[in-house]
Amino acid sequence: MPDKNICRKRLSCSTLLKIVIPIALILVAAILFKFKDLPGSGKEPIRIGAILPLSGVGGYLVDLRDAMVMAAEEVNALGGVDDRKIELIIEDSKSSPVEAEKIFLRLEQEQQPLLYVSALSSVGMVLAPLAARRQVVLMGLVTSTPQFAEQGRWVFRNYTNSQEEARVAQRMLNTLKVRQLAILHADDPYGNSVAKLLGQSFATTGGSATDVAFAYDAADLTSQIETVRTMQAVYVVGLVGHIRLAIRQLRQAGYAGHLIAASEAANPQVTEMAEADGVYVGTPLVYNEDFLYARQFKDNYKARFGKPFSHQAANGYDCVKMIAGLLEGNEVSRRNVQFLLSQGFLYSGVQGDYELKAGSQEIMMPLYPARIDQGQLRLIQ
Amino acid sequence: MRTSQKIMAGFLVTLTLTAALAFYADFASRRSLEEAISHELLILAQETMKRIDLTIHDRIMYVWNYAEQAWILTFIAKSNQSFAALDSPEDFMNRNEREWISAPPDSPSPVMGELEDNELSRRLRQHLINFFVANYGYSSFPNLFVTNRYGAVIASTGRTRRYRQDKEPWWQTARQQGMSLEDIAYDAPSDSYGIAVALRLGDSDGNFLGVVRAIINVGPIVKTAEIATGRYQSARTRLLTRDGKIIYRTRPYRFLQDFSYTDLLSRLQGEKGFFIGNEQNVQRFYSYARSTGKEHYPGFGWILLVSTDADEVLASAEVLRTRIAVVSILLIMAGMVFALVLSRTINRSLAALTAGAERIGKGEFDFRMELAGNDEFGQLASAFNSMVSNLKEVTASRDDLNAEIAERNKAEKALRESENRFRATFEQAAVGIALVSPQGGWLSVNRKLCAIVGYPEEKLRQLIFQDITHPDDLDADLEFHRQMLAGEIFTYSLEKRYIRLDGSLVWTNLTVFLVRDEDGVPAYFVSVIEDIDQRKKIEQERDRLSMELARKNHELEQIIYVTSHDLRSPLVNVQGFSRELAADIKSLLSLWQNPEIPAAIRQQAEPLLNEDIPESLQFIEKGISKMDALLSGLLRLSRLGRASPTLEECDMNRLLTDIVTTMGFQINEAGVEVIVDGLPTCLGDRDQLNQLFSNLLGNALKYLDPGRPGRINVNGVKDKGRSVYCVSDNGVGIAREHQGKIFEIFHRLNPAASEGEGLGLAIVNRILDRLDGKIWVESEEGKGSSFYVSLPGWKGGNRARIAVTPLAKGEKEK
Repeated sequence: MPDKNICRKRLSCSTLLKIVIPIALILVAAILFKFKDLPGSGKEPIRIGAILPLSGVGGYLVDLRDAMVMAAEEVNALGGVDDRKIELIIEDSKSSPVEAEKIFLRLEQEQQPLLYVSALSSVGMVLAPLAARRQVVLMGLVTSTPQFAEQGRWVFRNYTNSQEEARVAQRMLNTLKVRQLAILHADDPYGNSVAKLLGQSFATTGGSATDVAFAYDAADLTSQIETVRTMQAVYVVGLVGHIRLAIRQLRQAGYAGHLIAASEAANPQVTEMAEADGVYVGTPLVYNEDFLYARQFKDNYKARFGKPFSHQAANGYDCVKMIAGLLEGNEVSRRNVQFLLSQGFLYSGVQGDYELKAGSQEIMMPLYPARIDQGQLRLIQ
Repeated sequence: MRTSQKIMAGFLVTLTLTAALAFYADFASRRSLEEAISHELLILAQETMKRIDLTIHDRIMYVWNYAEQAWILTFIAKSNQSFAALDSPEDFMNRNEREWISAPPDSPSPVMGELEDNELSRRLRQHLINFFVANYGYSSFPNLFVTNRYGAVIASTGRTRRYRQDKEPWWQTARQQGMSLEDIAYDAPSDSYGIAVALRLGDSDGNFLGVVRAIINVGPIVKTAEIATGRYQSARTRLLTRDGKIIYRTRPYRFLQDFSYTDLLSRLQGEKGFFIGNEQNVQRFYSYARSTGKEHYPGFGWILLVSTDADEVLASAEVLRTRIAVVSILLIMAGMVFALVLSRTINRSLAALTAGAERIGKGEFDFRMELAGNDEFGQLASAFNSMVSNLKEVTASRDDLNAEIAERNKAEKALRESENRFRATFEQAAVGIALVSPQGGWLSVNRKLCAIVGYPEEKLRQLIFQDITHPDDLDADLEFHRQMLAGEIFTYSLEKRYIRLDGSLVWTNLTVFLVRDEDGVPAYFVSVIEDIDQRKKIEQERDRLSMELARKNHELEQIIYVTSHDLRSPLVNVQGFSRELAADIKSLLSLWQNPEIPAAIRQQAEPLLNEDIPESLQFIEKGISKMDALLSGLLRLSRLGRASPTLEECDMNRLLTDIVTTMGFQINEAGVEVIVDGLPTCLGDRDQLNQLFSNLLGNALKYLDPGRPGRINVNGVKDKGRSVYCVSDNGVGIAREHQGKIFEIFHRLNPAASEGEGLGLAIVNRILDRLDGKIWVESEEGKGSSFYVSLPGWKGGNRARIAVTPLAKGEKEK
């Protein structure tokens, strides 16, 4: 009898286990299925090719990359775009148009991202015709040259442009009542265009402007500074490195006039220079400490990367958020991206209000006059 | 359902219910959380909408307050005065209007350039645009301009489309009603989107001075207001016009894009509300609030729609749900494992208890539960063991009690049966039975006793046994009585006589034993009284006959003796005279040979003398010899009756050895093997026993079967105090019909084939009579005979074996 009981007990236990184990497995499978069903976990991602100058003269634009990554992560954390994650294909252009072209062609061959983002006017100008040819949107960040937005319907600028640089510079010159101006600019499309526009604008006010160019890869501006040191004001336009070099050498040369710089000078690499104190800068709204809307971004960025934000970073952040918002609820295709952009939109980003008018290629980021005061940008009235 | 299944099922149900409760709690909390979040979002929407309304109102009031500054009013008043001083302000205004409109976009007219750069314009830019940008990060005023009372623009922060504004409806409204508000629209001069507010400006007396018009850009206002929604990363804000056109949206949008085609708009009913909906397959919480304005700002019925991704706001709840699910599964699995272990443990305990109970149920009260631990099973086992111990004791007591009861019942039954039997026996007994008091009173008597003594029971019970005991027997009886009461004897038997009621005597055999009570005190005597009166009479007759027989035997023996003795003398004479006669005949024959006797006579007398007379003499001689033998036998026989045997221990081995030795010649002649086995001793007369066994061996030798070698065995055993000897042979045997007669005197088995007088076995029988012995025979004709002799035994004995083998022919006896 005892054996029989033991047998029956084993049978009953195994029967119960046969019941419990499938139930547990079903529940575990349900949970796994639930996790598996999380948004964006199984759909094809939205790939954005980001050809950014992570080294070379534009190497300071790693901020741009970092902010883009942060924005993509935030979008993805909320489920992505209609359950599709944003995947950034970040490539280092080494600030070289040639390298950027190679990367573009390789990405086109291998991955064919939905759209491309590039930085630097020189790079953007090389990539623009390629994008037009491939019928893929190229969005230029930190690309101010006017010619970039003239490369066809597939090319959009998401940054301030030369006109805005010139406009805000003119306002500052007006405020400072400058009548004699030297425009010290990099000999690249961006610098040349700003210099040209500002010269024209300044001339309409009756002032006298002197155009002084320096090489894109110049390491010494002594000769140029010697030319401009007698001017009432010097307007410097170029990349961050150019501006830093110019300010330092101007201060070293004992230049006593007004120093005005293009929006790149709003970058902390410039504002934190001791020599930059007192320099006027056309700055995006994001540097305004009273612009509460940008505060969260600033705090998150600093907490995430341990460094102060820059408007280039804000530009990249806004770009990704803008693209994600634009694609939401819409067909994800190269052609539709171009179509959506062609329709125009308004977008309030951390940089301020962006506006892309229908049919325009300029996603305008307004600039405001400011002054570097002990490392901080102070908007001026 | 087995206990383990019950436990498992119980655990499963409990855990499932717990999990269900947890899921219900999660569901309920999720619903509560959803409602709370919706309410929070609603409050957020309301507050945001209020903030927008308030900000717009503040901007309006800011413009109004700013514009009513004295210097501005003075500025306007001066303009009005200068216009009043003109001959035709209308012409002046028209002229400037034409220049204004005709001026190219990049080249303002002189009037336009002058007024854009006048003091009021600069201050307006400084105080209403740049100030806000510096302090709020944005300016709500893309464009402001001021007209005098004539409707002419006298100051502007930017380009206006026309110089004369007096024909504009808003201007008229402001002039007449103090304020004009236009719903949001694109303002081409400022290239911006906003609501247009026009405010009437007047002097201290209320006289109309002019109108200030500002475009209030709502976007930055909403954007600043929506910061409050930033607690949710997925929060999105939409500001819609009353008819569903987008004024503002968190993500990129087109101004006044129609939103009414969506399902969401139909759900935006009433002043406020919230709901959960789906957008692009994502569940979102929605709340909305309508603009209600603020004092001077009546609002335009705009709808602020705030939404958040349900996954984000319910992330904590989802994490909780997942954790509950995982924990529930783990709990269920752990619970089931625990239940399994527990049920196995309990089952083992229960099985042990069950097995123990079964063993105990089978009566193994020495079995003890071996359950370790101090849990309930351990306590139960301990209690069980205690119970078993008690049960053992109780059972033992019960068994003892039952056994005792059974024993008592049995005893009672036996007693009853015994009583019944006793009563039946008592009443139906063939002997008289009486219970007699120690004093001799008849306590109880049976019918037989009454019949024996001839008294009715009632009367007998009034007597004591001494009353009816024959006086000659009383003393002996009383002596036994005393001894028994004294404990010297336990029972006694006594043949005694009772005096019957009719005065006659009756012989009885009285057997008495005493019954004592538990204290050893004599209770009563049980007297068994057998009526031996008849037997006594028979015995008396037998004794008389025995005596008569003895006397006659004696007489017979005397006769035999005398006869045999007395007959011997004449026989001797006859024998002597016959021998004399034979001698005479011989003498006569010698005489007869005398030739003188005539031959004829001689021939006639010669046969008589030679044949007839000798033959007769032979017959006489034989008769005499036979007679002599008979007389000798009879004499021996009579002597056996007269001579007293000398009883002593007889060494039968030696006795038989002597006999065999004595009969050695005969034995050897017959070629018989005689084997004497170990013989026990006996009590007897050596001489008579010698004669006895000599006779038996002689008979054996006499009746050998000539067809086979003779063999005689003599052996003996002790049996019940007697020594039994057997003399067996393989002789001719005795026919069954002769076996009863062989011990008779003068009986001969085969008179023709053997010699003898037929006295041997008679003498044997007579000897055994004298020695208290017995003899019997077992024989089968043709196979042999065995004569058994039983004699009183003697203690001890010799088991030596004496074998006497016949001597070979020619061998001399040593």
